[in-house]
Amino acid sequence: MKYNFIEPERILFYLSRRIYFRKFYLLLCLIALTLQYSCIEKELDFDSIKTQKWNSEWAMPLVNSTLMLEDFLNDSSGIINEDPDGLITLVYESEELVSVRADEVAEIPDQVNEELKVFDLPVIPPGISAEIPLVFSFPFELDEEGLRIDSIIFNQGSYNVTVSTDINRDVLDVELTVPNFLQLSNNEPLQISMSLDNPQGTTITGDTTIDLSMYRLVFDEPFADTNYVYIHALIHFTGDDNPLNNPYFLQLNNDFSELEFGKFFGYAGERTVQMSDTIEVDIFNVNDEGYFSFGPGSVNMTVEVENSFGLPVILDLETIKAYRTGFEPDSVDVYIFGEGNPSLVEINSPAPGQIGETLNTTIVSDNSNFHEALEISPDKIFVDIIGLLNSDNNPSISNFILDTSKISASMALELELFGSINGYTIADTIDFNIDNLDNIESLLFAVDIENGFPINAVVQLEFVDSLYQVVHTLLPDGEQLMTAADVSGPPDYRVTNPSSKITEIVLNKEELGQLEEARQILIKAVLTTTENQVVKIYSDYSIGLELGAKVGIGF
Amino acid sequence: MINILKKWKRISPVKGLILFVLLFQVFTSVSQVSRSVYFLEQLPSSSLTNPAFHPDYKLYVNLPVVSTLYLGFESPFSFDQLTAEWETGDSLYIDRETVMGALNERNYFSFEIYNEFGRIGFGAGRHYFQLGISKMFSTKFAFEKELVELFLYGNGSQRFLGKRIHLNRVGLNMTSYHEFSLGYSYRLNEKLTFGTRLKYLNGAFNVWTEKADFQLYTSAEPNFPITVSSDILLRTSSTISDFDNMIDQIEGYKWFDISGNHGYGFDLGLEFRPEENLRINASVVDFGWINWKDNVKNFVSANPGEDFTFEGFDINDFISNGSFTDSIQFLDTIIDHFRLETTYDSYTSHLNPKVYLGGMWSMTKNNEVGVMLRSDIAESRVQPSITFNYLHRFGRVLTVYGNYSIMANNYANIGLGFITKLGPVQFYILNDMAWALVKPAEARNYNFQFGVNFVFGRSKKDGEVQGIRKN
Repeated sequence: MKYNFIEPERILFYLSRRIYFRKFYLLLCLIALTLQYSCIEKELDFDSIKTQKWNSEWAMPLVNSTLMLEDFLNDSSGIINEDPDGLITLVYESEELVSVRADEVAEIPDQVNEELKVFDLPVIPPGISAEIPLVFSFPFELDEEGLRIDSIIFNQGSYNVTVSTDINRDVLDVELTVPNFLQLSNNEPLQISMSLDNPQGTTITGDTTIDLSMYRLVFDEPFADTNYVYIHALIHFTGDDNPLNNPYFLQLNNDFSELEFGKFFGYAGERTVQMSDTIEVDIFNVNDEGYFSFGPGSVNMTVEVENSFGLPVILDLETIKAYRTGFEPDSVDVYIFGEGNPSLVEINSPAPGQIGETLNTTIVSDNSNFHEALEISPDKIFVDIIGLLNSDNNPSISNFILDTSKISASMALELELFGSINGYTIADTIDFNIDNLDNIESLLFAVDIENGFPINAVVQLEFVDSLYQVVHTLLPDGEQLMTAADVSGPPDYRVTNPSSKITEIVLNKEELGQLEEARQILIKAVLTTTENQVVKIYSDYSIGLELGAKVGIGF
Repeated sequence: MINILKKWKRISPVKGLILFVLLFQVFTSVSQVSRSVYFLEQLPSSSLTNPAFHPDYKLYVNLPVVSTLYLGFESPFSFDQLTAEWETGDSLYIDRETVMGALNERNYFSFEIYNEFGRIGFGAGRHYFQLGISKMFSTKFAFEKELVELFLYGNGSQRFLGKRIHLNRVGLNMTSYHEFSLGYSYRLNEKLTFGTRLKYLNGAFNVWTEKADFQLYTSAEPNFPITVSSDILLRTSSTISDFDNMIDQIEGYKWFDISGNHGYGFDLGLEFRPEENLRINASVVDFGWINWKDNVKNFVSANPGEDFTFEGFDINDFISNGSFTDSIQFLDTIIDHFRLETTYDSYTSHLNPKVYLGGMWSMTKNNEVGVMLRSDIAESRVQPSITFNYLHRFGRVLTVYGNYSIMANNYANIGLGFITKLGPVQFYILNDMAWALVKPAEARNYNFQFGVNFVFGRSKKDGEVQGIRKN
């Protein structure tokens, strides 16, 4: 058989005879291996892979929620109430207007009084005892003229009496009886005795302090002098050999201090007090324009007053103002009983037989202009109430005040969700900063809303840069993201068929680039009822929101 | 290759895909020896493909360092199939249509290193004995075409919206073990030789995805709800603690650590010479198993196959008091549903057997042609391949060959190599895919084998079959 490979074999055979054949061969192998690696690195030029001609599309669900009304109002300070049919009422309440406390109406000031009597001692044989009666009286003054104390039971207070005399008798006692102060335990008058033996004849002094919380101060009969305290002093002495230095004196220093009453009976005088507060109506906080138009009878304001003062009280509800803050402030005066009508309300007070009880008075505004006031979408309701006590200023009547007595008032604004919505615009701004969108070629949001509310929503999101220049508008103008559900007629105005709508929002590469420049998003939603139709919002209404995204990614 | 990877400081998704490919090309298995070695009976290593092969020498010795080293990888697509030139001509892009066209329904990235610590063989009459110690590292990542399709097109493409994706053939099988072998062949007569090799295997580490069943359904409804289920059983026996520095950890394994992971294997083969210039061979190699006991951790799905549907976050869970919540309880639910529980039970993995069937015909004294059919059996699947070989001997000093293989629907496999023998030193470089050296961008597979043998006493004489004197 012939060989077809003579030539290469000869060449190699020739080389094999050369002395450097082995070195040459190994070198050849090394060169081949080196070239192999270099060649691979050059051929497989990964750095030159710059981009691609296709996008992968990744779909994912983002949101799947059923939203009830309370989900939208969960940050609200309002209380969501519903009637047996499920009709929603939002109740915004003021803080409790604690206006008048007992110590603001009646205060018992400290009393300091000094009384001195001069008298002569009779001449009696040594060893024989005798008595000299003296009557002291002084006014127990209140802080205003014309007030009257019938009686007071003290929670605390002290009565310090100092007795001084210059009677020079070896045996001398002074007994004081204060019939205006009766012991609570036995109704016996306050009695004080002290021994003032004084053989030297210099001025001698004795004192004592009484805890008045154990006593009742009475100015009734038989001590008919209003607000006068009587002290009956009885001086007991025994005849001795000491000289008779007539006339002698007996002085009483009366000090009533730290007086706090538990019960006051009498006449507390005419008083005027002021209560004020603000009701936050935060449902209107985010309103930009437009308004709710509440249906007939859907707005009520009630004032609940509690009174435990035993005196006549009249409230003046004259100053109530709905106020809208923000860029375009506005306000409307609210006339709770209608413009031009008196705003005075007499509230219930406990009768003498109801001491310690609190009587309620409910003031219902059924003729106010609150409907008009709410059309400015007020976020605050300012309330000023003036309380008039003993406004007739008739000192002949009897009041009673306990230390726990107070007048408190609270207001509640009840908004029954019944009416129409007229371009009610919600606006808000949120910070936005996104980058690294280089690999995102497209973005699609699919919004599927099943709307169980009878409300249309036109939504717009404007992306603005740091200079508030709009760099991108997400939705076409007037895009109705949510269409109103159909409602039945009066009186229920209830949704009969929820409405469904799917909206697709597509962002291309250029638009995504615009988003990278954005720093804030201005969100604006305009809510309306169809053709200003009157609707009612029930508790079983909901919005089914499904949001998915499809991202086109290019590498 | 590592240098190339190091350049990629900033990994883009495209580069990530390529990195993913390369990682599995470099660090992941198939054949243990070159197909070419099957036709080179004068190489002692040829007995690895058929234990009935008698090396040409009475005695040979392989020493550490310069012993046989085999590297091989396979990829389901080439660099060229992965990329296309941009219109401007100065850059490339991932051509997903071409990639998809190149993929089979089931695909593999594989990588294998076979390194002999030492081998010795000697003949005694009709008997030939061989002892060898070697180390094997192989890794194979299997994946379905649909997985790549999902990655390239996304679940939001029309291909997948409203369609259930079922991936149940994705898995990683990475293993490293030592092999202690005793080979024996016996020439029964001039025509028939048979042989066997018994092996003790000692496992170093193993990561084996025994089961990985994933299902994904993206609804075409507007909010694209996604339903996912998984059923995973991942077995590991290793000290590799995480994937962050896996390569370093693999390198941390000493070349020769003996573990408690014991295994056994065997090869069987025969050679039939119906004519003096014709040899027909058949063999089955790599039947065996390893029982993994050391550092075993198995990860198994807590809720296997249970659907989990995500329809979106509930706003009320996501937002609390007007601001986003720091933690979303829903995420905890997802994590819990797809939680993997850990067990520590030992397990058994099997080697991937290979069946060789071939023949060589000596046309002349120095020219020989051959054909070989090889079937790799892995994971209940048979991967057939065929190789046609031509060999020429330039005397006793140099033997060169060229061959052509068809494997895994890849038709561009031209192998080239040589063996040279200078005195007792036999040196060889082999590969089955030389085209990869010329056009690496077009190559899907590549392997390379070289080694140095010290051979003594050529046992064959002309017209003589080793051990049997021709009458």
